[in-house]
Amino acid sequence: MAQRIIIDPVTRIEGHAKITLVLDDAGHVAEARFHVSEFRGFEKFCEGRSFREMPAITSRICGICPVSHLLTSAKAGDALLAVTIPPAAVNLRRIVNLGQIIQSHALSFFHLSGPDLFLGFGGDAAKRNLVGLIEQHPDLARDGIRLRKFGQQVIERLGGKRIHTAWACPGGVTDPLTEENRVCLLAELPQALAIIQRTLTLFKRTLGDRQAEIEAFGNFPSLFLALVTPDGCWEHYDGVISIGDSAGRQLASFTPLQYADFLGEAVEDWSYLKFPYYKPLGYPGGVYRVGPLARLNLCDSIGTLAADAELAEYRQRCGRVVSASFNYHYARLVEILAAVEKLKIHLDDPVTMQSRVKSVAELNCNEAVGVGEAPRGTLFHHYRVDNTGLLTRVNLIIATGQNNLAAQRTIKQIADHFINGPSISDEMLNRVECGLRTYDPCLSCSTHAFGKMPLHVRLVRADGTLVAERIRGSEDQ
Amino acid sequence: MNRPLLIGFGNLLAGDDGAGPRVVEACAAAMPEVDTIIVQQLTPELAEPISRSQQVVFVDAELGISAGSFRIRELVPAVESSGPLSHHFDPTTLLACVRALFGHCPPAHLVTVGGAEFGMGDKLSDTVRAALPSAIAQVKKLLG
Repeated sequence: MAQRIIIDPVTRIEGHAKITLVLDDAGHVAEARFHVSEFRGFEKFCEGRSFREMPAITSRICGICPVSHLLTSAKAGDALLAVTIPPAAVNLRRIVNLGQIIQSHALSFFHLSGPDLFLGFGGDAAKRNLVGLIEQHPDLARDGIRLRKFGQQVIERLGGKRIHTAWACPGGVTDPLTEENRVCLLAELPQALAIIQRTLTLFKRTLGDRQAEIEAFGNFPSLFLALVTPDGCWEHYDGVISIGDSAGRQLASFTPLQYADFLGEAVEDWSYLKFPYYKPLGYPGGVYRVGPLARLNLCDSIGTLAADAELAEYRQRCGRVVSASFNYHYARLVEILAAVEKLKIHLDDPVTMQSRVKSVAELNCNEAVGVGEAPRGTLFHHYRVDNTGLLTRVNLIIATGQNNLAAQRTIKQIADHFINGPSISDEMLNRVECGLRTYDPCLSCSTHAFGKMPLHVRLVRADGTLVAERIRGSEDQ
Repeated sequence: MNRPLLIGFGNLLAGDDGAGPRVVEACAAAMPEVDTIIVQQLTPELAEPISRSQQVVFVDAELGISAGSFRIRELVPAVESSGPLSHHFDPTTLLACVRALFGHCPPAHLVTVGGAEFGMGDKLSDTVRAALPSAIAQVKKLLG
């Protein structure tokens, strides 16, 4: 008789989620479902608001990557105004996005996945956490905090102390970078560079011991989607949207307004998270991945010295197109290095300090799409407005949604490896969590409740009969 | 000399989840001798300012108590964390990080305000809004 294993919720990822594994009569995993059970309603909430408010409103979606929504919303606003923003504003937006990539990737690598990577995937759950990481590898943990703090500083020195700022706005940004802040950021760069370089060295030393995880953590062919520059370089703010496959073939390249011709959004009745897919291949066949892995797969080069050297080594170790989601971790580190180098380029560029940072215009269009690269992947903001600029329709396609289909396949692949019959081992639970964390999913951080989320595992038959149950929480370790 | 630190966390667009930040906003205006931080959620780098503080008070919304009521708890660093953590670092885990990284941890309290509405919206419920002056007074007393 078919059985279901439910893991509820998955911890150390943004928001709340649970996993159901459906076993067939032979005890093999027939299906994996990654449920997102919290309804956010953000798109409906925004209707009726002015598009000019949207950068400040949407930046409150997420406590970890507010800048991504801020910038993408401002870009949609630029398109509604039909303006070209000043070159200094472009540089400043790029700088703040690079700071965002650094701080978000640092949180993901050092503090969320660091315990898995450096304390062992099968390690004691009571110790396999950030405090355990600090005790075992204090220098590594300190490096993570310093790097994250540096990324935050970049954001604060441009956008102000409060993270949820309206600094980026349709037409540009509200304030230029001061010379004092430019000098301070430049002074911090060498430490950030040293941290990421020694972290890359440390991580690469562990790769040889990670073959099992590389094979099992979402290692399958799929499509990849990311922004690239018109000449094929790594991009995080603008450029063209590119889709390629695991064989390295480019399937499509399109502009933001064309996205609906290429991307569909399927809905399932068991999850509030949508399932974007590549339309020409249909649903669910059109599975694609976004984020660091996709960005590195789709670019020819990064365009900075050290990051290009690391990219070459990454490709030598993992292949020209990397299909194993475990390597999201590796790709994140390469991207931090790229971000640090590109920050220096922008901070040294005299254009950055030009005083004109905003173009002024009235509403000139009724529909626009803003696209940018959030740390976790490509982000789309699609707005329709009436003639007064009030929103009549909002569609947000977030990175975690675009990785949704890949996440399901990743869970199934891990479960295939580690589940044999109805028993649930700690090792399997750890690996399912770790596999999901390769994507650094951000499901929702709109509401939180005080207290630790337990890990709740239920084993039930298809008819709902409870076979076994385990709760791994704060009180019962 | 080290100063007291007040940290309010929660989402200002999620109804009563914004109670913590709003309490801290009010205290910041009235207590210039206190350092304040407002964040959507707790993150590891907060360990550094906490380590430098004379005492720390966290202010948060809570689902598990009646709306408009509040609770004050003295916090100690988590002795042993429960395994995997969420992105939503809780205060005791953060304090454990402070102690592990810096070798000491300041006295700490958590003030929580019971929330009624956590849906999408930038306003507090009437019940929580009415309770804010009491919560602010309690925070001031703790820091006094």
